[in-house]
Amino acid sequence: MLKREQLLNLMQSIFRVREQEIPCSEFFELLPGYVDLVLRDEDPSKGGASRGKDPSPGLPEPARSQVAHHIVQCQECKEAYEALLQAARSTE
Amino acid sequence: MIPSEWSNDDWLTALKADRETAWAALRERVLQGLLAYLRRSRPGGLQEEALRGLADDAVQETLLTVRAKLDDFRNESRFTTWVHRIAVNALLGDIRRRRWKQRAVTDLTGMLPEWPLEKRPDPEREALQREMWAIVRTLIEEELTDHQRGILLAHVFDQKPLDLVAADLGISRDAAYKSIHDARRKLRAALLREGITLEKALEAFQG
Repeated sequence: MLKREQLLNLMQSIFRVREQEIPCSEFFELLPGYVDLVLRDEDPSKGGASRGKDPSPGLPEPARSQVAHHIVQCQECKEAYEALLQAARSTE
Repeated sequence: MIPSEWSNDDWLTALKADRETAWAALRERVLQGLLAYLRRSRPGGLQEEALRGLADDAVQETLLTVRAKLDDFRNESRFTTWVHRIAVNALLGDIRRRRWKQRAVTDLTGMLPEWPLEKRPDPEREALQREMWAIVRTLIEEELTDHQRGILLAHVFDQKPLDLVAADLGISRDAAYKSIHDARRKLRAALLREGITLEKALEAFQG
């Protein structure tokens, strides 16, 4: 049995579906770069993905929007994204 | 002591040279990252000691994976973020497996419930909500293949982890996700044919 929020999420995921979506394995490959960009956007003064001596690796489109879309379509991958963001942020 | 601003190359060079201080620093960094997440999310209401055990197990697995995959790092992110991603996968996989320790094998012939929510429909909107669910339920039963419906039931309605659903069926996680994706596409087309938009569906099911 579902909570109301889960049923609403099911309906949203049905109507948000795109013809082409990346699978979970590709999402996981792209996720670190996406999280680096999110952290950079949170605090641009720290340089985010370009911290230290590394060049900013970036995450070009359409990969960035594909990752963002997968986060809203796959609840488990969303959980992984939130966990990674929290872990990476805490060890800045 | 590892400088906090080590570059990816610095990390890779030190770890490939098997410098003990680098591995220790990476271990500590991953551990602190996982503990920060666990203390915030408190899966299953676990106490500190249990959280620590979960984190320690995930760190062990992570360092083994990192050691085996150092050459796979493609420099498309910060090295430490890449490592944290491996750690998060290990941790969440463990948490989900524990939740489903007593799991039943995925049953592709399971039936959709007459009413999907834990709570009964709102009295004032019961007719509307039951009518909307009846349409959605019928479309799930009639439009999807047995395979698509079974995966949707197991993962969405029973909330079984997708990795475990895939393992039960002997397919990859990506293949299971593709089935859900295909099911969503079919259902969207069918719902729109019935004149049901997202706005109508949300309006009906919102409390």
